[in-house]
Amino acid sequence: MQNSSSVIGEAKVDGVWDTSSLYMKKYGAGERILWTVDVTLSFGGVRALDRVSIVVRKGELLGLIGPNGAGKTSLLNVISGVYKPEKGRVFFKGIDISNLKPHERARLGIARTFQHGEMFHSMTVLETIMLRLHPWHRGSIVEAALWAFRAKRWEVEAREKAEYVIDLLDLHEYRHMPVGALPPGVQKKVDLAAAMVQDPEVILMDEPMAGLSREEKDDIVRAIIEIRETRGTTMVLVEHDLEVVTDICDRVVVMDRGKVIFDGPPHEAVKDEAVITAYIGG
Amino acid sequence: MPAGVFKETYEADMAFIRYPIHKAALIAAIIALLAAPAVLDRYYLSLATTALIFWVAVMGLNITVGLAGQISLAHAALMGVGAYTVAHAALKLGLNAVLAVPLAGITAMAISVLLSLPSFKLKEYYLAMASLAAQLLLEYAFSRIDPDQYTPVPPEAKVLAGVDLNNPVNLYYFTALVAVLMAVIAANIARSTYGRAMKAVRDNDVAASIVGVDVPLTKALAFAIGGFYAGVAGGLYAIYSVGIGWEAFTLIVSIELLGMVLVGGPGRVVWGSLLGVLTLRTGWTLLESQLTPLLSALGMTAYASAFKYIVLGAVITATIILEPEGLIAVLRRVKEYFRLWPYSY
Repeated sequence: MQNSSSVIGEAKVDGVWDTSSLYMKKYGAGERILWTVDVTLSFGGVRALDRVSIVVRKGELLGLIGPNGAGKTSLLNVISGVYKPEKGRVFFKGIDISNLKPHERARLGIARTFQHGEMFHSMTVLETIMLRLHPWHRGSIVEAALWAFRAKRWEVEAREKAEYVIDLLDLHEYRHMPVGALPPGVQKKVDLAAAMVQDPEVILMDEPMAGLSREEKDDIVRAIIEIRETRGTTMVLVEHDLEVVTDICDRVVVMDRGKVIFDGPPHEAVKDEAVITAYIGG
Repeated sequence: MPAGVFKETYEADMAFIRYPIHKAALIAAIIALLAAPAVLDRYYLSLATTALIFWVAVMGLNITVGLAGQISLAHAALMGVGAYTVAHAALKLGLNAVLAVPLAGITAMAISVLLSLPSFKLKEYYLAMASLAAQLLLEYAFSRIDPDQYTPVPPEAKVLAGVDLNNPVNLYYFTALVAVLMAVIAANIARSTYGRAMKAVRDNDVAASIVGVDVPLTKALAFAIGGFYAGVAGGLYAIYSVGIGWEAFTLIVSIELLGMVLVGGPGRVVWGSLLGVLTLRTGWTLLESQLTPLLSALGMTAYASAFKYIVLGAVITATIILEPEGLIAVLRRVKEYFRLWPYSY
């Protein structure tokens, strides 16, 4: 029997894997913004991703779930450019971005958060957020040294953008505190703010709620909803917590052992036999 | 009526002078700098001048080590490159020593960029080893260029536009001017996007490259700026000295400079560096002048130099254990205490 993992991505048009026709058949009209085609990635002998093809629609909140080691983070790393897949391609708005570096993808409009919020522990919240604008920076080192011309104008502009997301995610009181000294919930929010400052079209969130308390999780969920409502950003959410995912996601993709085993509405996912088996173990 | 200080633009909020106290401190510092020659006698004035020279050097090292996290044990050698550049430019090319100072910075910068190449592959101890090799290599080069350990800096080269830097007061003002200029530049770099990129490389270089920081370029930049500062400091040192010998730029001096960064506050480029210099260099010199009679009374004069490294070593170790963020963090706590006073928080 045909494995359900490859429902999307089986169509070959002119010798190139193309998901669009099947995608349309499955989801109807709706603009896709980001998609992968047959992404395969191995670490040594372990196949982390096995011909994974997913589609992200514009404006949706896609949940990417699965048990530990399912390949969720690996997929995110392939999409954001941290890992280079052995096979398969990544497309963003019709452009093949498979060979671009992470910050080049960021410049195109893909931002991401990290599993460990405390990436630059000694930098302040403001610095962490402004750092993410570095790929856009203007002004030479000489202008920066003199705090003049383009460098100064750019710094002020970057500060303004940073303050906007600080306001959006309510981080005022932590502005000048080193990220390493903050509670994990706030660190994750800082990471989200740092991704948001790039004004992305798609934001990839790698377990923004892992290891947080109930209240902190609620806080992050509120932040996510706030961003969707104010900015309409497309989101991909990697998460362990099924409850959160079914509550807020428009659609979920379930992965297990490097393969996609389910793709559909959240309420169906929790009833799907393959998903239940993967989670409970079988 | 609003109470307190309010900013209406981010530009104002990002300026150096944000509160009335900043303005007051700036005016006080300028008066202190200007009035020093009138108050201090010749000995203390020369102490102040060397403190300013070493401040420039340590600011550079603080950018390389404190800001970008790239350990360098070759900073004194880079100072030597600057000093020999000025001395030889004055001796052989007849160039004015003051005009040769930027040249000294650029020469040391070029060599420092070469030294940055191992940092693309090596980290921490291994990088320290590579820079140690560079220090010893440069020391060897100095010993060939200057076998007598004495290269005179001609006094006539120290006169520019009628200002005679052989006069200690003029030299003090000149050094202060250069040091303040270099401090402003260092502060600007630290608060700019380049400074943030360096901090990101220091904290987590893999993550830094993911968020779009060009890691090798940032490391090279940190070494280049550090080298430029070392070169300028070395050039100033040459102007300050009647003649230079390479024993002033040996490994132990490199280690002392690193100690100043650690004690003052790594990453706190301007004020941390100043505190480090005032503690380990000026502070020690003042202490030594008190200790020497004591040691000679005890018949221990022979141990005087060993004593220095015991004390400096103890101070550096104590700082690393008790206050890894350096003395500047202590000052900040004091400031915070008075800001909240009389409440505890």
